[in-house]
Amino acid sequence: MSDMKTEQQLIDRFLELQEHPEQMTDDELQQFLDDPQMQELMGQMAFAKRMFKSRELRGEAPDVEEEWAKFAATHFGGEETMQRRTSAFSFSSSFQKIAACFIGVLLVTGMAFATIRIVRHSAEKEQETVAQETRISTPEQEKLSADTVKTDTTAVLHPVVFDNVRLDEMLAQIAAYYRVETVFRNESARQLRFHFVWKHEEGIGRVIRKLDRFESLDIRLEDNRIIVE
Amino acid sequence: MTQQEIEKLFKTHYMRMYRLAVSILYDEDESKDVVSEVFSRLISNDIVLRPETTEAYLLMSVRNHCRNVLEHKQVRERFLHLQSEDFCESMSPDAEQLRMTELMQYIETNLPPLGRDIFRLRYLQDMTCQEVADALGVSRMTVHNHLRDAVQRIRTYFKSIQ
Repeated sequence: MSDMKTEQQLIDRFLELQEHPEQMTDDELQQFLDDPQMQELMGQMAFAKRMFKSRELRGEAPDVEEEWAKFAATHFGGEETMQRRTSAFSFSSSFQKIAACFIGVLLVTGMAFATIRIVRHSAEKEQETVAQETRISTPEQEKLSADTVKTDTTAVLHPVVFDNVRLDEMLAQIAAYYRVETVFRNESARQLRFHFVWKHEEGIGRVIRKLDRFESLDIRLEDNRIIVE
Repeated sequence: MTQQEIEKLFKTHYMRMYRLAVSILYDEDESKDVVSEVFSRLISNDIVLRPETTEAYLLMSVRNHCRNVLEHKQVRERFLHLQSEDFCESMSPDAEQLRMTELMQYIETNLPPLGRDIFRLRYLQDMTCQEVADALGVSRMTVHNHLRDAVQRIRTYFKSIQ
């Protein structure tokens, strides 16, 4: 009975603050959200809202052709739209562009040269540290940027070397690739970092067994879910 | 990847990627930007995709980009607009779709149509309780009671699957 009451109070408080956010300061709000029960409620409500939104969207949609034309124009130098214009027009417009580029280059040469040198210098430095963090075994993959390797890559062909990468980031990629869920029963395990070589062709069972060999890690596969204890 | 290959990927997967982004960010323009960004990365990083994992990869990238967007928002904004990263983390896109379908069915059997409308107007249209009451021609108290009931039902659903 008392459980029911606190549950009611929780919901009422949540609704009230959503309606009158001006009643509290940022700090108070943060405290309020630090409460695990409130976090859970927020997560559930957000999920419900997402569900409504995704259902609502089924009817309406942006025009993919139009979005593609925009994308192509910015990423492939506008060839897509250029092709539809007459050749005379496209000649004059690209000529204007070239001329504009020249003028621009002349104007900023001095300053740009110095800036480029500085930027390049620091970019090179950055790349050096990145290389230390995530090593990848084939030259072809070294083109991937660090954050792609860490969070996005699920579809490369060659083994992925996770070097000092957080377990939750690592498992997110692995789980996505094999299309399974990850369940962290032990939240602190998320932050563990490992050096691990992931071979895609090895199959999820073998990959998880290999991970389980780490002493600090208790991990297994159960009903198509990766369980971390 | 060639322009043709990118074009094919873009036209095949755009809609699903866009929908996923909107369902996390609730903002059409931000969502278009996120999807664009994923394709830009594909070009600039020269990533090789295998056909059988392409969709999973693209959706996971959308999710990660959305999470970055959310991380940069203020706590208050996330609270008011009910944006949470919690559910981004552990579920695969397919598992999530399944859960959404389940929750929708649960809501359809357990919430009256008025309750569903009130929830939608309050949270998806970002109306205040008073605005919802005016729009539907009911009292503010009715709106409040329905919302409370909806939140309770949603919690009951989540408890039932734990």
